[in-house]
This record gives sequence, C-alpha cells and structure tokens, in this order.
Amino acid sequence: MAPPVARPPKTRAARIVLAIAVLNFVILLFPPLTWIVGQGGVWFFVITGVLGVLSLVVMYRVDAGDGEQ
Amino acid sequence: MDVLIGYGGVVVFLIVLLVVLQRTKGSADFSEYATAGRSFGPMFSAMAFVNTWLPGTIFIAFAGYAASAGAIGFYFVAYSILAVVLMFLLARPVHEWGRRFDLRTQADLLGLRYGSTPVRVIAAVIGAIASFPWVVLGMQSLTLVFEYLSFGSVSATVAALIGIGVLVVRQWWTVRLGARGLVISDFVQGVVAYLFGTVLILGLLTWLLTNGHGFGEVKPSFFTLPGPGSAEGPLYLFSLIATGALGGWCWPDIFVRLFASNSTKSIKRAAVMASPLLVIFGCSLCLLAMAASTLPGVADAPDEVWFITASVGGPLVLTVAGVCVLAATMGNVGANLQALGAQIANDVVGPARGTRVEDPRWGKVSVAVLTLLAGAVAVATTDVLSSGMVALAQVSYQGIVQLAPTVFLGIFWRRGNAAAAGSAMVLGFATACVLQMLYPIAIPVLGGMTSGVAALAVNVAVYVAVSYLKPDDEDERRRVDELFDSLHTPERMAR
Repeated sequence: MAPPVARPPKTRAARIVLAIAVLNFVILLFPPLTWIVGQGGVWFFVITGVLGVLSLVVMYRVDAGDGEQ
Repeated sequence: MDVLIGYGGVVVFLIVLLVVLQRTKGSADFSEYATAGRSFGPMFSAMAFVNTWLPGTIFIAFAGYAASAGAIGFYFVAYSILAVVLMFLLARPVHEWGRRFDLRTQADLLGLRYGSTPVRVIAAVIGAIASFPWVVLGMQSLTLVFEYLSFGSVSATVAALIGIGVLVVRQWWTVRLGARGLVISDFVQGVVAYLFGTVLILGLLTWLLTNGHGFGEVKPSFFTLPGPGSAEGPLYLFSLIATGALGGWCWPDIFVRLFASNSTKSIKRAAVMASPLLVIFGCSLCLLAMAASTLPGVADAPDEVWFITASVGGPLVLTVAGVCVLAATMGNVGANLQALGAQIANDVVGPARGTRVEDPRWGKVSVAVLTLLAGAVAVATTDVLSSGMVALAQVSYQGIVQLAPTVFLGIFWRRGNAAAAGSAMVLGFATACVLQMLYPIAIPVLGGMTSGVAALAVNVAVYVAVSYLKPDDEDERRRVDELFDSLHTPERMAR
C-alpha cells in the first residue's frame, strides 16, 4: 500500500456548504419551531421548502466557485 | 365509451414508453446492467431520482393524509428537501468510490468502506426484506387507477389484477435493460407524473378555489401542526421527517441512482434541479388535497381525493390523472425490483459463490424471479387491508432506517468499523421491529416518537460505543484512511 498522505484541510467553501446543510436540518428537525407556528402549519412547510431550494442553489454556487466539483 | 377513453389513455402512454424503451441498448456486463455505465448527466439523474423517490401512492396515501389531517401531510416535502441536501453531500464520496472501485450497489459500497463481507450481506438482506413489501404494495396501488378509469365497468378485484398484470409485464424491459432502461423510462414517466401532474394539480386547485372549496371552508385544525398536548405527541412530526430524510438514502433503489450519474458535478446539479420540482409538486398536491377535503365523498375516502377531484373535469381529465399515478408507480416499482435484483445477485449470490459477479444474466434472472414472486404475493394478498401487507410495510420502513448510521457515519466518519456497523444494524433492526409491533403509530411515553427513531437512538449509541471500544487494527485504519484520502488525491488505490 502507498504511504498515507496528509489529510487536506477543509476549505472555506466546504465549511459554508456544511453549515448551510446543518442549518436546513436544524430548521426542519428542531421540534419547538413546528410547535410555535400555530395556525401557520402550511406556511411553515412552504417557506422552509423555498429556503431549502435556495440553500441548494447557494451550496452549488459556493462549491463550484471552490473548484470542488 | 368512457372506459375506452380511460383505458385507451393508459394504452397510449404505455405505447410511448415502450417505443422509447425499445430504442434503448442492453448491457454488456453486470456493472453496466446495475449502474447504466455511470453515464447519465444531471437532467436524467434528477428525473430518475424524483421518479424513484416519489412513489405512485404519493397521489393516493400521501394526498389522502393531507386531505384527512391537513398541514402535517406536507411532511414529505420537508423530508424530501433534507434528502436532496444529503444527496448533495453524498455526491462526491459515493460517485468517486463507485467509479474507482466499480461499486454497483449500496451494500457493495458498505462492503468496501468497512472491508467486511458480513456487513455487505447484512445490509443487502435488510434492504431486500424491507423493500419487498413495498414492491408488492406498489403493484397493488394501481387498483384505484384501473377502477376509476373503467368508470364502473370492472370491480376492485379485477382492477387490482389488471394493475398487477400491467406492472409485471412492464418489468420485461426492466429485466432486459437494467438500470439504463430504468433511467430513460424514469425521464418519460417523471415528465408525465410530475410535470404534467403539477399542471393538472394547479388547474384543479384553481377550479376548487373558484367553486366554493377555498381554504376558508377547511377545518381550522387542518392548519396546525402537532405539538405539546396534541394527540400524536410533540415529537411525532420530528420523527416522521427524520425517518423520511435519513431512511430515504437507506433504500437500495434510491441509493443506486447515485451510481448512474456520470460525475460528482452531475449529482450535485441533479440535486439542485430536483429540489424545486419536489417543493412545487409536493406543496401543490397537498394544497389541492386540503382544499378538496370539503368535496363530497373525500371525508369518507380520503385516499381517493386525487380521483374524486379529477372527476370534476370529466373522463379526459380523470384519464390524465390516472396516467400520472401509473407513471409514478412504474418508476418506483421498476427501480425497486432492479435495485433489489442487482443487490441480491451482487451482494448475496456473489459472496456465497466466492466470486465477483460479472455476467449480466445473474442480474436478469434475479430481477425476473423477484418480479414473479412479487406478482404472485400481490395477487395472493389482493385484499391488502386484511392481508397484513400494510402493517408489514410500516414495520419495514422503521427497519430500513436502521441502515442510516452505518451508511452516513461510514461515509462521513473514519472511525466507524465493521464490528460497529454489524452490531448497530442488527440491534437497531430488531429494536425497531419489536417497538413497531408494540407501538404501531407512536410511543406515547417518548413524546410521540416513532419506533424507527427510538431504535435509531439505540443504533447510533451502539455504533459509536463499539467504534471506540473495539477500534480497528493498524492495517485496517490505514486502509480506511487511504480510502478517505483517495477522495482528494489522484487514483492510486486498488480494491
């Protein structure tokens, strides 16, 4: 086997992509957020859905700008 | 006359699909059969993902949930978004390892990552056991389609047999063409089910809102989500979304779609392209179901909301609605059968014979046998509610999510090892099955948490504990380090 190489440091873009992904999980999986929306259950899903789509666009742009792909 | 329009529409759709499939070339070897030669760009990858991700019952059971319970029915939109976010993160390791090591299935990847045949076989067996009831239910889910499109000419039992027959015959092309045929047909089926479907949904929604079925008429409780003090419990919605998002990538048919893309960039672009379609289609369908909840008959049969609403447009509109369900169901059932067949051939038969499967005939035989078996079980359990098949499917969903720690921690964390993966999968699966039998809906003492999520806590704890308490030896650690490092270096590792 070849000798191990040094683990590459995480780039700024990779950290941003990861942070956006984590934020999506927090928004959609943090129970108190769904408890406080009251009569706005439908709006909660519509708004978080749109945020999710925008997040993916930003993740893609940041990732592409880093030459990660 | 109406039945000619209804069944004629189905025939026209099938002819278009078969013309496309007849022009698709077959596979030269097993890898090509299982992964379509890793050849598809973002557009095909996105539609293949959506057509596999959303089953035909999205128009039936999921729409029915929104029609009977309101906003909580949108939960599939939320978990779909999280699944696409995960798809973005999985793109690089799954595609790169898949390409470099000629991986064909999810179990194949786990076998490589953990350097373990038992892990590979356990994952393959859990995937097959959990998926099979869904294939059977998928075949039976066309009952409503052929019942409504017959306009009263055939009984529910005959409609069920017609639906099963159509899907079994359709699999001839799945058997023959493998993943390539599936991805191409997914594109056609996806356009019909989710693009034409969205246009139809928006048209029907407009009709509802302008004909006395606005959201003002809907029960106020439909707009609230379960929280503290609710009947379901405060953690019920969290559990539904978590199970869907994490469990999604545990299904072999979903995961193997990542292997069909031609690059990491294609998978990431596919994720970006799939997300608006999922959100617009999903939200529109749920809004339609909620608005239609005030239509006569929907409260008594919420699962028929899609067909009852489409009936207001006459036979042509109802036919288009039925074809949408058919197209969605075909994508999901075909993908499941192909992935399971490939997985059994590659990860169960191959290791049992002590060889790496290279002949596509193994995949074809495996998919054919599974198709006939699923068709036979579907016919034998046509009375689906009394057959226990739905209960079995619910158990299997809570079971499949138990692969999640092994899949995600394996791909994103170097420390996880074969002992941790094997023990976590087996203990998690067993815990989920027992809890699901005791608490079919939710566990009251755990705030409405579902059995799968409760078992997932046990699963993760076992995985992390075993990873630390029984670490790999030096050679295995170096092998895993090289595997992860290979994602950032030129190709130099051999399997």
